[in-house]
Amino acid sequence: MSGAAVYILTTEGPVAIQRISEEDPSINSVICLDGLAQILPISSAYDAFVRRPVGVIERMTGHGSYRLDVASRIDEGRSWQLAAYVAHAARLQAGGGDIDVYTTGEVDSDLDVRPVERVDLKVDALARYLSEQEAQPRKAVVLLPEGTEPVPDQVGGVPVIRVRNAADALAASGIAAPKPMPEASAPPTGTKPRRHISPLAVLLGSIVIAAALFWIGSDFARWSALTEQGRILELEQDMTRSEDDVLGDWRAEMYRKWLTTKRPEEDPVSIEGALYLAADREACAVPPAVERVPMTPIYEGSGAVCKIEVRAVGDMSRYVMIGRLAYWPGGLGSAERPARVMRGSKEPSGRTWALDFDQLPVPGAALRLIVITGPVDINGSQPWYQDLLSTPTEAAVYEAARARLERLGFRVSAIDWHRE
Amino acid sequence: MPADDPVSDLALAALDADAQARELMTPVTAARIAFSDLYRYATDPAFELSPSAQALLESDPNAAADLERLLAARPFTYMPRQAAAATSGPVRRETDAAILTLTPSRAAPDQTYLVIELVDPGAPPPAQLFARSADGGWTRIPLAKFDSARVQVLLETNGETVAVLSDPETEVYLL
Repeated sequence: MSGAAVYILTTEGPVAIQRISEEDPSINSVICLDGLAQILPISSAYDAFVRRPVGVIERMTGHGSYRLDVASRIDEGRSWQLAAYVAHAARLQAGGGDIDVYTTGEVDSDLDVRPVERVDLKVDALARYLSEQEAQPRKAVVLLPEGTEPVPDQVGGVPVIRVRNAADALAASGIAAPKPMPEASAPPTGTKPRRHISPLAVLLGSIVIAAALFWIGSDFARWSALTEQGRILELEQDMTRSEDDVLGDWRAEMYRKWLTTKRPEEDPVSIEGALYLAADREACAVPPAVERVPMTPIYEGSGAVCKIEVRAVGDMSRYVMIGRLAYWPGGLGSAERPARVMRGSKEPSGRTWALDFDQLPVPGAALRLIVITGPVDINGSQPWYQDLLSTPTEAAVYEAARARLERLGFRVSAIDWHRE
Repeated sequence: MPADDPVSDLALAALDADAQARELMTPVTAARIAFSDLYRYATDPAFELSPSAQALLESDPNAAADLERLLAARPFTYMPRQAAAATSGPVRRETDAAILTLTPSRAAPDQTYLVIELVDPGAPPPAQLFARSADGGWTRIPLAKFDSARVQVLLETNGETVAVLSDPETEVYLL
């Protein structure tokens, strides 16, 4: 961290940002109190401020998870954002000038600074704080959003500077603006003194540069990390954003092609199910009265279906198998959501779903099992399940969801069952 | 049933009175935790057992069994003991309803994140975690508000709670 000390202005007085440290990417960013194991309630807002696609800090630093420690509690609001941004930028600098930065303000996704409330009270609290200090040993500055109500030009001898955006704030603090993380590698520009270079050397050099752009491009590194962490939805969103320009589109397409090489070539070795049938509901509770029969796509019998068990077997030494089993008492997609959705139990050779019923299947009831195999377990939100679990396999929305996952390196299999 | 429900309070008071009457009519009596206290402990994250009641819970198998019955009645999810093969590697437990992981903090190695993610983002989230260790002792962790079906709790890496949750013999209830 540079010599800059950054303080968040609050109505109770300035709160020092004590430390910013990188966290494991699987962890959401947190704001903690004074190094303690105490996560403050504003942490979810901080995580959104950090993490792509909305967050601005990951855009600046390339990392998506941090722990930020503050000296006193901050329980609400977003006026800490400008201080957090300045502190992150200061952290990127090695060395730097000694300066105390007292600030408040919201930062939007365009890095414009937005006004906040109760600035007068925060300034009064800062004035009291500064008056209690025996001396002002370091250079200091107060940064306030432009457009807030009239405030003095200085507080306790510290100049007040109004800022319109994050760049203004960094310039006023003597902190160098961070280099933006490249969204796409730009072709070399500018002219250099001409030297005689053979066409072969030019060709080889171009190949080397293209290869370097390809392999060490920041997009590839980021996508690779997201893939390894199983953050597949974020990966998809990030690649989609890159497709806005030609070079980014090319790189996203190349990465997708690489992902398809990781996709399992075949469906799971087998997906087999069994029905546990009895004469009626009461008999379901008597094990000797329950008969296990192989599951076929349609059950036309008259007995009670006490339980259904489905087992998917695959090459678990090479791939990860996940999935969902959805139970639709009124038929596939007949309600806003299934009555039950199960993840299944992981086993050495695959996965098993065992569904007991509170509400025994009546004619029309349906099950849909989706089995996804791929190179990694999927973490985080998985919106594709909604279409995969609720629509006929021949429907366009199902096919779109399946293709979406296959383009990300996964293979999708579906099994349907219903009671006639 | 909310802990401050008057009907619930009345029912719990009746149970306590019945227990006291039985104790008065029994020649040999031993101190026990009032059922109403156990119920509140199981259902209200803000309710704390008195130190003496906490000691009783740790020493009285009947009290521990009562608590288990309360928790097992309708947990959000139950995570049983794990297979022995799960003793190495990162701590991760998974059920149809939730995934629990322990991740050491990079920023503060003496602290560890307990992360709970819900499978169904629309499900009413649990408010507490109860863990029963192999020796029968109970640990309770109040959970913060879930955000996007996820909650993170910071724990001391060398603390008892991380030790209990890292033990595959531990059973976990979320409710």
